Amino acid sequence: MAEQLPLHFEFRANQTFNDFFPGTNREIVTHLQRCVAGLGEQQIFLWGKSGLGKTHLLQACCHQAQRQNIRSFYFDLAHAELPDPAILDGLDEYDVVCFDNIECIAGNADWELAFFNFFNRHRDRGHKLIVSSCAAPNDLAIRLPDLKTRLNWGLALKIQPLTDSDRIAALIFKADQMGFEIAPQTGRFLLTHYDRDLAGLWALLEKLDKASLAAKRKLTVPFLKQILNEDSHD
Amino acid sequence: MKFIINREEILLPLQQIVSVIEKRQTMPILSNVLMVIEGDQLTLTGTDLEIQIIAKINIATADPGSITVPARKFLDICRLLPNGAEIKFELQDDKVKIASSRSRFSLSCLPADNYPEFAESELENHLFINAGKFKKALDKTVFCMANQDVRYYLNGLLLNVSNSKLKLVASDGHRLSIYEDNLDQPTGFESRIILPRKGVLELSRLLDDPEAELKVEFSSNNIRIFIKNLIFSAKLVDSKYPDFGKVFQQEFFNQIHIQKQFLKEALTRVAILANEKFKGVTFDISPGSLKMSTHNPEHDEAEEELVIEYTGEPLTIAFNAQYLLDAVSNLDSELAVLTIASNASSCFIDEPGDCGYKFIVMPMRL
Repeated sequence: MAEQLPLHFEFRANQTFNDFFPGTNREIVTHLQRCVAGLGEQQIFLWGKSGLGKTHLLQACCHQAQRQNIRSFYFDLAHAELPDPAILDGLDEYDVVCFDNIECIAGNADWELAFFNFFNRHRDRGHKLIVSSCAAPNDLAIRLPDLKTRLNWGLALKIQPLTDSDRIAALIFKADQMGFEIAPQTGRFLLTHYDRDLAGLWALLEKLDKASLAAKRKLTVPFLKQILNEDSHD
Repeated sequence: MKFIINREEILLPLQQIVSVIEKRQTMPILSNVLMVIEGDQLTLTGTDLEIQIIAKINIATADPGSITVPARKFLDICRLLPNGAEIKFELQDDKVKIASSRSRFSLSCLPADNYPEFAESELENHLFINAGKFKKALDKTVFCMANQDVRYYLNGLLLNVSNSKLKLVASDGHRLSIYEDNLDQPTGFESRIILPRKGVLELSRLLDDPEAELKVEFSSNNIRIFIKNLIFSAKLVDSKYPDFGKVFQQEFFNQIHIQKQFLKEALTRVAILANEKFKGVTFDISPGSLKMSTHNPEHDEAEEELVIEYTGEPLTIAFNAQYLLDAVSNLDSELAVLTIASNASSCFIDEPGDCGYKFIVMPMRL
């Protein structure tokens, strides 16, 4: 079967609050926005399963801070090995500090102690700390009891998975940002016949975008079946 | 309202305006042309709510007033009157009377007050460009625009101004065209806007005088271009043009130089027997030689061989013959230069030397 290869267009999807589909998590977005702007909590602990958008929200906090000329810092602790805790030196000067996947430091005595010290210095200056984790603060395997208590000080927010109808709305929202349309029935078809995890759906969306560009077709259900079929034969 | 005008003065502006007016209308008044007389000037306006063209014509004797008349009927009347005819136009009650020599017409009309205003925001950016220069930029890019793609940004043309640099980009996702030029006067701004497909095609038709100086004004929503006695306005595509820079960041095979005319003729002949839908033609390239071949579901086959200038590894790549023909036909030089990415993932087509434009055709997997 002949196949036209499409150009590789890139959408530098920004991870801002505007690009986030909140669904039932609207309140979390408000809390984070107020926190960054200095109008809300000083510390937020965001937790929930992976693939729900924690990283996106933390990045969005930094984007917002940047726009408001607030000094911010983001670091994802889940990458490969933990860096030298010296990375925390001088960080207390930043108005907004975001640590993604804080659970990764649990059990590492050096990091726990360094983070505890950073926490105190940073908090004394009245700066904001936003951390994310896969588990609630109490369920973290942090050994340093004082650090565990401190992580509990702030507001703990649990990010909720989207309902099915919100997931469809999120798909349509995301597709719209990529410049194409997905009809609600197409979205429903994808949810019932394919991945239900959001990260998986985004990857699928990119594949569909490419396929519809190559074939110059709209994403109808019959066309989807064809793409997904070809995919399983590869 | 009353005026007398020579057929030659009104015919061209009227034709230009009628071409933006859609044949089928949801609002009857949109099939009309708005005619306003103020002082010694007649202003004609036509719109489809996305694009608007205004023409201003100086007139000797006239009584002021305004009205809208069915555009196509009015154009046909003017067009079919003899050359140089004097046309007398007069509004009487709810009819427009048109008279010339022994011809008499009475047209139904609609009041000017109901004519929809073209909403335009403040246009903060402006630049000046020569019409011939702009027309060339459009000619080298418009053929790559998509038609009715679900991605709105592809059904249009990217206009990127960075201070004194002008860049136009069009793509349907299978091929892409980039044109770059310098503006005579630096603009002091950086902006990226997308002109809608229909607007681009209409605009291109209006740029028939290469000597004319254009004033281009735009915001993020609208563009307005002053072309002699015409004002062209369009709503812009509300979307972001995607990044395609990655296509340049790769390794390439050595350049292939081919006589453009031979390439066009051979491709056209081979394409006769290509699959009607995909038009796939395979290129087998080796030092000094290009072999094109194709076949279709009916088991017909075609082959052509061309002498080319190429040194390097042999390679095989397939294209939609039509895309390649479109690109090659838009080259100004005798020689076509093909540069193929070393993983055969794309092909750049341009002229020898620096020509300011480049076409990219994506290959097919056969």
